[in-house]
Amino acid sequence: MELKVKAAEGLPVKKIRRKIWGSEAFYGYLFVSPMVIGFLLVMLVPFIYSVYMSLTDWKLLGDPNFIGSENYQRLVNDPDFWEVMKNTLLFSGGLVPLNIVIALLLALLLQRHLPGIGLFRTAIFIPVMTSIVVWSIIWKYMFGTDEGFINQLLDVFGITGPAWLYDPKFAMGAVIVVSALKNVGLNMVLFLAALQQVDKNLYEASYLDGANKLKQFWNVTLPMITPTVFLTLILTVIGSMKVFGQIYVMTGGGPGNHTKVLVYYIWENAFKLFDFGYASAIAIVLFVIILFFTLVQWSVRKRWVFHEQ
Amino acid sequence: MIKKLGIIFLVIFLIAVSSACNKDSTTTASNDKGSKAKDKQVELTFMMWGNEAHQEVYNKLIGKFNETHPNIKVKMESVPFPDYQQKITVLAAGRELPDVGWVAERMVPQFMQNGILDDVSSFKDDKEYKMDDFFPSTLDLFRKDDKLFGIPFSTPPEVLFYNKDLFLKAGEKTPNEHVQAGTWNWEQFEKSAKAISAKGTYGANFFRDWNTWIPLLSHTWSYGGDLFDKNQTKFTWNSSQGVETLKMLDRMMFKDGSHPKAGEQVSFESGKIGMFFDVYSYVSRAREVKDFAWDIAPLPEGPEGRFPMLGQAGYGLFKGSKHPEEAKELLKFFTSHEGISATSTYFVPPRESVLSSDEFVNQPNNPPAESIKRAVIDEMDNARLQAGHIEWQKIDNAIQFGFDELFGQLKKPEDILKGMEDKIDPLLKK
Repeated sequence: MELKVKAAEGLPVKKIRRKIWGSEAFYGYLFVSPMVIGFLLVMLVPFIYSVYMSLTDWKLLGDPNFIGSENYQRLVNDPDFWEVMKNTLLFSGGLVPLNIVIALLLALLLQRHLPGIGLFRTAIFIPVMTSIVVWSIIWKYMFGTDEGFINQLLDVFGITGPAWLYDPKFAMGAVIVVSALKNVGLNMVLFLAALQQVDKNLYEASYLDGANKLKQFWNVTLPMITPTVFLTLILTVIGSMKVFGQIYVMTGGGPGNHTKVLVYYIWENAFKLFDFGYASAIAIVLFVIILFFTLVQWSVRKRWVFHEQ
Repeated sequence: MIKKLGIIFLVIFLIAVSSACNKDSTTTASNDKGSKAKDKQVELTFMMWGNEAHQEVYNKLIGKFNETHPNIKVKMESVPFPDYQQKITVLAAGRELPDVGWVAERMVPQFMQNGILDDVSSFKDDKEYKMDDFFPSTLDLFRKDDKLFGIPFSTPPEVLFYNKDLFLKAGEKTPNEHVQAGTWNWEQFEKSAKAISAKGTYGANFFRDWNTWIPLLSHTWSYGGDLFDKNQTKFTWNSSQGVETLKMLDRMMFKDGSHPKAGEQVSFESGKIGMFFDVYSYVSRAREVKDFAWDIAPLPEGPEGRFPMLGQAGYGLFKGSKHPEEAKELLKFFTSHEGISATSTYFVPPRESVLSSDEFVNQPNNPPAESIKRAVIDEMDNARLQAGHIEWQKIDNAIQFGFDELFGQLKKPEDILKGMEDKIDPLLKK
């Protein structure tokens, strides 16, 4: 490729153009075109359209009127929106560390080749393949106030469990735990793959240098798998921002507004209150937030991610 | 994430594009039919939220309709109730509305405001149709100026379904016995509920899925209070009557333990609820109960009387139909004496002639005829319709928010109602 380009450098423009049709670059573009066309159709056009919609007062019925930045001004003065923002950050702040720490611990635990270990790995991975709606409905019943499994279990020990999903102190925590258990398997598999690629010689060398297990983990394992930690971190943060299914099924944003998160608020405004313009404005804000978090993570990765290829 | 959002946007985008494309085609299409095309084959869509049993009734009814209208094919589509309003709204945005469909009382203001329903007031000119057979109050919801934007088919008053066995076991007088003795008031209701409660069983339940707070209004009404003022310009539940209503619920939940606490999934069918508030249409579910004896009774009364909430569902004729004349024919047939008789298997008929017929009362596994007469037919005059509002969803959200505070024992009833008032009054002023 490089050679061809260099060879073409001295040629007049017309000839280069003709050359593109048969060149490797042409086939390259041809091969990426399905993705690019898909991107344009499925993402870019609707994205631009929703930016336009966020500047209108479209109520789904009737025609949209252009109202400029009114929706965004309303957003700033909407106390519910700020509460929803707080809830979203709370959810992410709870879910991301919980998910990654548990996934890493499970991966460390399950990386050995013991008989029957596949069974445990499968058991932890199965929730990932389960539908989020089914998963949430089952947990909703498990968290039931009187007849629920969890409170019946507590009852055995003489503890009267709270109304998990209707008590503002517990509802968000319950949703976070349910979400973490649902997706921890995926991160675990990624960590397992990363752990198995760590060079065994490094452990031997550090052992000879007198490092104990904890030091080995801290100074050998963790630095070696930082690219995977980075990947899971980005995926989990983005995933936690777009949480919807479990909230919709388990709490409906309640009690009060205590578990109402951004995507749920978008849905509520669009499809319950039929305020499409406002819902679009919130969606744009969500996009900006996710973009911001991803860029921040990307820019600081040089400081702590090693061995990236 | 980005891709998912993209898909959502695409869907929204496609709705927008298709709505733009359809704009012209529907207007031209609606001009080129008339009585000349009587024999032309047409297909109508009928949308509803009914279950299979309901659909079975309609399959038979449509079969009858085709005996006189062989050229009209009717396609029935069922959409679950919680998604129904959303579905109709999205279809309206895409100019893809069904020709005829069910509408519930809460949806009607939104549909009327946005002009997606067609006027059917011409039905009254048809002598055979007998419009005056309908209870006039059942048409109020659909009337605006001198136009009529729908016809009801189900006007069930709220009744009390009660588990007879639980009352017998506790040695308590049943609600119907209290009604006969003239002692069936809210204080007695609370006492009875407490008396029949035991571990795992509750005396009463007002809620289905923890969001149907509306039956509680009957309590407020019977003490002289109301949700809004007459012109729906002010939220008036923040009153001594409203406070009493919330206090009653609070006592039953947390002091007497006679009402399930939020988050419990106990149904009347499970036999663990003594008294359950629901509209009479719930009878289709109750008929399936095999494990215990049950009956229906009127709601308790207060100093001002007894005021069951009136549920209402009707048919609407949606605008933009390609075959409006045929759709009118279908709607006329559904709401004729014959049509209303057929659907009265499950629904309380708005036609007087059907309501007073034996057919409505004598269904298999129905409660005793005298109970139906006492709780349903005799209560029709007391029943009150809680009119919806164009901002109903937001109002409902605010009230639901308040009940969540009550369920979590976060605030006192007075403060909860104040909070509702602060949120709802601005909505009513719009």
